[in-house]
Amino acid sequence: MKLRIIHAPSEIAGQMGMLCDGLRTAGAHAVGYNWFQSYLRYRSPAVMQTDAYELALSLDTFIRIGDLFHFHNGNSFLTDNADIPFIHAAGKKMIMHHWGSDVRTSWRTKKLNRYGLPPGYMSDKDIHERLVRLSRHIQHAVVQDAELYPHVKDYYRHVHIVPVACEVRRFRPVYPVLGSRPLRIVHAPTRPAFKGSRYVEAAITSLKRQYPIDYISVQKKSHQEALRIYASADVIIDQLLCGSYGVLTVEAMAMGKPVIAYIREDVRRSQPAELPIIQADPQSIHAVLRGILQQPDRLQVIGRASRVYVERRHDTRVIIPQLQAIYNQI
Amino acid sequence: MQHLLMMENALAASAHDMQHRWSSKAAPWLVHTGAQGKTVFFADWILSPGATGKGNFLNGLRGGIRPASPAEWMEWTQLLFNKGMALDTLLSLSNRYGIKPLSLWIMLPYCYEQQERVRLKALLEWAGTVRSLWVKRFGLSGHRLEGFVWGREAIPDGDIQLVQAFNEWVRNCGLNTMWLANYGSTHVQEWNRIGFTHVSIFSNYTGKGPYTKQWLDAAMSYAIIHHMGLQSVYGAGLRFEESSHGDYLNAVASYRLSGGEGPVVHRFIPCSRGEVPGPSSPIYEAMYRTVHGGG
Repeated sequence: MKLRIIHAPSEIAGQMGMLCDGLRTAGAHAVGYNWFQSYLRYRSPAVMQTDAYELALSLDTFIRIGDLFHFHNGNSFLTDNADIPFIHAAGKKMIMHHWGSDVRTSWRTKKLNRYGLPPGYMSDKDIHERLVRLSRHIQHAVVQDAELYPHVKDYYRHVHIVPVACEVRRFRPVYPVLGSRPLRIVHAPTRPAFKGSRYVEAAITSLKRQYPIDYISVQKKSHQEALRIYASADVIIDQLLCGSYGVLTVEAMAMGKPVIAYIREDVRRSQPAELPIIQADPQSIHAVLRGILQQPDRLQVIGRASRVYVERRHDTRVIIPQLQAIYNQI
Repeated sequence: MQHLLMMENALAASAHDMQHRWSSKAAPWLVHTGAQGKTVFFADWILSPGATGKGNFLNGLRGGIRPASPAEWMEWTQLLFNKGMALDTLLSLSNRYGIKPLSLWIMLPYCYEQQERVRLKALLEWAGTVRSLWVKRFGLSGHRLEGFVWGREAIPDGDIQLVQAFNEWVRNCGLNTMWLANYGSTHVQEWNRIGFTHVSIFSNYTGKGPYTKQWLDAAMSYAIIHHMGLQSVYGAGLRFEESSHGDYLNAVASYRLSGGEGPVVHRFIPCSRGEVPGPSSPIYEAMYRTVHGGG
C-alpha cells in the first residue's frame, strides 16, 4: 500500500506545493496543508490552504490516517510542536525540512560568513531550543545546501541535502535579447536587509550615470506577477550577503536568465563545478555590473547554461527520487 | 434555536446499523429519561458525514489526504434519505416520543482541488438534491430542514466567493447556512457579510497545551459581542483533557446569562470512530442540565 504522505504546515517559497505535486506525479499519495498565507500566494492543487486552528483540530485524524509527516520550517501541527511526541508514539514516520531563518543562528553565521546578516524572526536561543525539542523524536532533517547544513548537523541523526525543487518544464526559457534596448536588471528584495539590496541600489544609481539601465525592483507582488517581470529581465540579482541561492535564483535560471548572487566559497565548492551564477558581493557588485554592461554578449551563454543547470540539478523529476529515497530510510 | 447537537455518521452504515446501533446511540441525545420521565434533550441536530465505504472523507482537512469523489458524495445523500437510514431513523424516534418539530442541519461536502465554477456547480447540485429529497420524503412530516453547515472550519481567501455564492443560493431557497468557525478563523468577523445565517465558534481550549481557559473566556465574550454562537466541545482525543468539558458547560451557562443568543453547538471531538458518550457517561446529565437551564 502507498504511504500517505502529509506535508505541513508552512508553504515556503512554493516548495511544499512543488514537492507534493512532484510526489503525486510520481504516483505517491501526498497532500500539503499550509497555514502561512502571504502576498506571494503560492498555489498548488496538492496543497490545502488552512490555518493553525483548523490544523490543530484535525490532529487526531492526521495521526490515524497519515503514514509519513514531512514538516517544514521547524513547525508541526501544533504551534509549540506538542504534537511531535504523539506522532512519534503512534509510530509514524517524520522528517523536518528546514529552510533558512528557522535554523540560521547569528553566532554561527558570524563564524561562517564574512557578511553579517540581519537577525531573523527567532533568537539563537529559541532556535537551539526548538532544534533540541524537534530532534528528540525526529531523526531525519532536510536542508537545501551546504550553507544551511552546519546549522542543523549537530542536532539530527541524519541530515540530507536536497536542492530546491523546480518544475522546470513550466518555465519557457526567454534568453536575454541584447542590443535593441537598455539592459533590464531585476532585483526582488523580499527582505532588503537580508538580500543586501542597498548595495544593489547604490551600484545601479552610480552606473545609471554612465550606462542606460532599465532597473526594476520587484516588491509586494504575487508570485505569478513577479514571474512575469522576471521573464522580461536580461539579468536578475538575487542576494549579495547570504552566501547561497534560493528559489528566486532557480526559477530565474529556469527562465534562461543569468543570475547574480554571492555564493560563499565553501558552498560553491559543494555544488557542481558548472554552477553558472555570476559571483558578486557588496564590494564587487558595481564592478560586476559594469563588466556586464560593457560586455553583455556573454549573458546569452550564461542564460542557456543556467537553464541546463537547473534541468540537471533542480527539476522535480531529479528531486523527487532523492526525496523518496530519503523517505525509504526513515 | 438554542442548543444543537452535532452527530457524525459513518457512511458505510447499513439500514440495519442505523436502526439498531446508530439509533441506540442517538436516542438518548434526543430523549432524556429522568425523574420527570421522558423529555426532549436536543430538538436541533446537525448531521455530519464520516468516512465513506472506501475510507475517504467528504469534508474537513482530513479529506485532503483521502478525498471522496463526487460519486461518493451520493453515499452521504443515501445515508440521509434512503429508506431506513439516518433521517428515517431519527424522525421515527422523534415521532415516537412526540418531539416535533425536529430541526435538522446537514453538513456539506467540501470540493477539493477543482475550479471555482465546477465547485459551485457540484455543491449546488448536491444541496439541490438534498432539498428536493427532503420535500419529497419529509415535506409533510412536520419536521424542518433548517439548512446547511459549511464543510470546513477555515475559509481561506480562495473559498470566499464560493461561500458567498452558495450562501446566496441557499438563502434564495428559503433555507439557512451555518459556519462552525474558530475564534481565530480568518473572515470570522465577516460571517454575516459572507452570507451565513449563523456562526458558532470553537475557542481552541482543550485543557492541555498552549490554549488556556482564557481562550474559552475570550471566545465567549467575542461571540457575545459579535452575535455569534459558541461551540461546547467534549474532546476525547490526544489534545483534550476530559475535565475541560466542565469548563465548556460553565462557559455556555455564562454565555446565555450574559446575553449570548447565538446557537450553542455541542459536539464530540474526535468523532472519527463514532465514539459518542452515552447516558452512563458523567457528561450526559451535566449536558442535560446546561441545555435545559438546570445548572
